[in-house]
Parts: sequence; C-alpha cells; structure tokens
Amino acid sequence: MNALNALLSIEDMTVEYTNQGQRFAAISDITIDIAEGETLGLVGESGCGKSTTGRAIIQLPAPTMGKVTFEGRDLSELNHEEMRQVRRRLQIIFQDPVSSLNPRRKVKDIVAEPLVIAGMKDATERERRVREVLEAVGVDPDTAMDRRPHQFSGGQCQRICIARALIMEPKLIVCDEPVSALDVSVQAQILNLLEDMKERYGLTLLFISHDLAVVKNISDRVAVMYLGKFCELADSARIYEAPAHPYTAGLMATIPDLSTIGADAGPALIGEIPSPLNPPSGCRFRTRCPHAQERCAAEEPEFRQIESGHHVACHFPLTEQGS
Amino acid sequence: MDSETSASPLLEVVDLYTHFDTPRGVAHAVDGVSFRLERGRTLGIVGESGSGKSVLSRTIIDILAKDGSVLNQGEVRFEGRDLMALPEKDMREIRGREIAMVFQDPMSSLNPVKKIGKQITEVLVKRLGMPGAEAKRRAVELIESVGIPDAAQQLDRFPMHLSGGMRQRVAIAIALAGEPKLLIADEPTTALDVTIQAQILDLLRHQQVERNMAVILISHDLGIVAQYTDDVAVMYAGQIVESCSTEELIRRPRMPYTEALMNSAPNLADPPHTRLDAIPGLPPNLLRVPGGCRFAERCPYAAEKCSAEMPALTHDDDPSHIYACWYPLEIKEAVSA
Repeated sequence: MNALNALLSIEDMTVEYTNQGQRFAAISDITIDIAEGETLGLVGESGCGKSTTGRAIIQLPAPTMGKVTFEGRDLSELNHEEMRQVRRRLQIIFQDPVSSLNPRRKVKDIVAEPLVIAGMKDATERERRVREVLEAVGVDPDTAMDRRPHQFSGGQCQRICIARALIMEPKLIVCDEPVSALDVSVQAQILNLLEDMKERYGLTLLFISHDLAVVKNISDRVAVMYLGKFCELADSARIYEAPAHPYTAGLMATIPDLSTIGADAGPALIGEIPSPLNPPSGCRFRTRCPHAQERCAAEEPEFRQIESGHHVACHFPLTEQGS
Repeated sequence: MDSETSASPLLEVVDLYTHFDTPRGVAHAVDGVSFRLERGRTLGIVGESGSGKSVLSRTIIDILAKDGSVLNQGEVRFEGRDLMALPEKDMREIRGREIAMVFQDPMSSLNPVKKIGKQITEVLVKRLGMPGAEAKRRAVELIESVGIPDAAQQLDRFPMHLSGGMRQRVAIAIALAGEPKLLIADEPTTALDVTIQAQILDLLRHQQVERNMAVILISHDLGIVAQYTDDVAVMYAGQIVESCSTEELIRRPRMPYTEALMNSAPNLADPPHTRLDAIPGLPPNLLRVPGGCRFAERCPYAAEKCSAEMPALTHDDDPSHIYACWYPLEIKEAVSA
C-alpha cells in the first residue's frame, strides 16, 4: 500500500498500554498511507484505537512497534530536538477546544506560542502572523486578541485552536473529534472552515470521528476501525454506497437519517465492543456479527483488497454475497 | 380546555418561565413555554445547547436549586394538578413514581457505592411499598427487561463494573421501577457510542409501547428525535419556535431555524465534500435576549419587522402545526419521500 506520494506512512504499527499489570494492544499492527493533500477519515466507536492512532503519529506516545514515516523520515529515529522540528509540520487539534487552551493566557499569546517556541524573536512579525491566521479562521483579531478563552464559545475556541495549529504552516493536521463537542450549527461552520483551510494552506488531514455522516462529508477516503484494527478502507463515496464489512454496514444502519423517517433502520448491532484486554479469537468483530460462521472464530481475516482501493478484513464481505 | 376530565392531557405546560438570577443578570433559560402531552405519546424536544430544553425538563420535575436563584412562573399541570403549586413533600411522591427521569450521564444518577440491585429494590420498597422478597424478584425482572444479561448476578454488582451502555440500562430500569406514567429522557444516549445509542433508543421505544407510557425525549440531534418520537417541539433561546407531528416537521418545516437545523447536519446521502449550510453566528446571550424574533440575527430571511417585534406562535390551516415566524417558509414537500 505504499503510494509514491505518501506524506505519511504507518507500517505495522502497534501501541501497547498496561492496565492493572496487564499489557494489551490498543492498536495492533496497522498499516496505512496518507497521501499528500488528502483527507483520511478514521471512524469507529470508543476504544477502537482511533485516537491512539492519531497520537502515535505525532509520537505522543511513540508506537510500541512499527514505523511512522513523515516526509520520508522515520519519526522513531529522530532525537528530541529533531522531533520538535518535525512537530511544527505535524499538528493536532482535539475534541474539547476549551480545555485545549490555557485559560489564563490571552488569545494572541496562545496563538503566538508556537512561534515563540520556534524562536521567532520579532514581536511585530509574530503579531502580524497571529492576525493573519485569526482572520483566516474567521475570528476578528481586533476584538479577540486581548481576550481569554472563557470569553469565547466552544466553536470560537475551536477556531482559535485551528489558528494555533495553522500558524506553523503544518503539512498534516490530525483532527481528533474536532466537532464532537459542538452544536450542529457550529459543527457545520467548523467543517466548512477545515475544508477552506485545507484548500488555502495545502493541508493533509487525518480526521478522527465517531460520526459517520461527518466523516463522509469531509473525507476522501475512510478507514473503519474496530478493537485496534482496520476492518475496512475505501473511498468515502464507495464505502457508504457499498460497505463490505458487516461492522461498517451495522454502523451505517445506526445513523438516524431524516430522509428515512418512519422507516425501520434495521436491527441495531447487538452487544458491546469486547475488552481489548481479551479480544475474541479470529475475527474481532465476530461476537457481534450477524453473519459470523465457524471460520470467523478460527481464523483471523486478512486485510485484503477486494477492489482497487477497497480493502476489507472479512472472510465473507457483504459485496461478495450479492446482497 | 376542560380540566379534570378524561379529555385533559397527561401533562400540560402553560406559559412556563424559568429564569436564573446570576451575578451578571437574569438568564432567560425558559421563556414562556406551553405544550401538552397526551398519555402514551412520545414528544421530542430538540434544540442546541442553551436552548432551554434541559432546564425545561428540570422545571417540570422541580429539581432546580431552591436557593432563590431560580425564578419560576407558569403552570405544569400533570393529570390536572399543578405541580408548581405542590409542596415538596407531595412532589417527592410524584417524582420517580408518576414521572421518572433518565439523564445523559448514567454515572451521575447512580449511587456509585451501592449495588445496583439495592438501588432498584429501594425504589420498589419505598415508592410502591413492596415487601423485600417481592422487590428482589421484581428487580431481576426489571434488569432482564432492559436487556442486561445474567440479571440475577448483576444485582450484586456496582455501577463501576458496568459499561456506559449497561449503566444507562440500569438507570432506565430504576426509572421504570416506579411504573411512571411519564418518562423524561434528557439526552439519554449522548455519552454513548452510536451502536449502543441505537440499542438504548430501541429499548426506550419498546418500553414506551409496552407500558403505554408517555415519553419526553430531549436531544440536540434532530435525526434521533425524528426517528423515535410522535410529536416534536423545536426550542431556540428559551422558547418553542415550532411544534407539530414529527413527520410534518421533517416534511414541511415552517420556521427557518428548523430548516437551518436540518440542513446544517451532514447528510449521508450527499457526496463527500458537500458544502454544509452552516448557520452563521451564535444563539443570543440569554442574559440579554433581543426584543424581536430571537433567531432574526442568524436568519437568512429576516426583515426589519423580525428584529423589532417578537412573533407569537401561530398556525395556518392545521392548528396542530404551530410556529413563531413572521415570514414562514413556503410549504414544500420534502424531496425524499
């Protein structure tokens, strides 16, 4: 899966944590490329490892095994100082914009901080850059610069977080549930803003979310995660038209859709996500899968390509059953 | 509306105001809300944060602070009795018995240091006066009915041993224990994963039908409300701005805010990178609500009159479809039937 124009490559990455003395893998052995200029959506339920993946990319913490290559450099081989340099080009924004901002500092200082850390001494130039990014994200610098985060709404705080991420002119931004804490009307503003910023600054995005409709809207490709592994990866339009993995199909059936009011959305997925401390044998989804058979418990399905650009980890993908 | 007859609805809220006296001024959280709910019906209340939907539900069951910072006015008539006029002693009889509530965060409504069996039997013994042994049997049934496996074993567990979805099931079991006529579910699935959300909402619907219980489902998610309710009220800045049957609202919204709420959410049917119709700006500050229509500032159709004069709730041919707008949207059939 090594594309020539991959900005970021993840190879056989595993992240392990210890819980009450027991080691377990939050993500196991995942491999994926993110092409320059694309938006890759990463979707799944809590505990599936999507946020862990986002953090492992920026080496917070570094993966236990495997390799992350960014702009051709293996991040695990960089020393602290080199990693600091790289991190400017590799930014992250989080779900809760208010707690991501230091409540005691003024907006202009928060947004300028990356520049200060990078050693930019010229205060006038710093202020010019802060104004520029604030304007770009739709925050009026004249009224906002001297205020503190609590004087802003959640949506405005997320704009400020985006401004802070943009000021170092990053190549890639990991967006970890950036709109989940926002009201729908504000969520739409932020999603539109991310699209605009992507265009204006030539960004590549890894967009992590539990919300399939949001992910479909913003992504070029979508990867679905379950219990630390990918179960499906395809173009955004494709995965929603013809989901091949029963988990993807099940997730999609749970989305209330205004155009199908009154229609029965079909049975909800049964059960809950199993503990990563003790994942099921074979296919990890089999305990909740309506199509599971003996083979699913015995043998772990390979993450294989079923069509150009469409990968699935399932012994019996839905698209091959003619359904 | 004649009260005390079979024609009186289960719940009737009349011109209800809940204001908070804060150091920075008076916040108009609920500002003149009226609605009625018949027995066995499901009403959705939808709105964004700060619209007053949760304060409204807390006013109905009277659990807001009693320190004088909450200013109430209006009537909450439950089976003809005005709950606002009831002494706390009588209200306690109604809460958890006649009207039960399920909250967003099940952990905050469960006692963390009490076994879940005990938390359920407590309701049965105290509220229904059931003998202990019978209460225990009933608790097992309740736990089973909310879809928790191995019910008998679960009674001895503490909330911390359960997943978020299972905790919410326990919270629902406790709410159902008193056999309420009305269940208020305030964002019951917002803290849960999407697959668990569908399970919990299906469970609520199943229980609602089985018990012929009335439900108020409060949510920020119009999609959820649309899927699970008979009628819906849209709240904005402390007021109901549109109310009708759920199907009618989705097909023929009249209030521009309702339309904007529908269009701002990404739609699965649209291709990737479809530009979203975001609503510009923010809801008004509840400390300083504007004099005219509260949505005027963000409304694409607003005219001068809108910011000058507050539109009252009105209706056209269909008296069950009310809306507060000077220039309502043309009636148009939704594209997708």
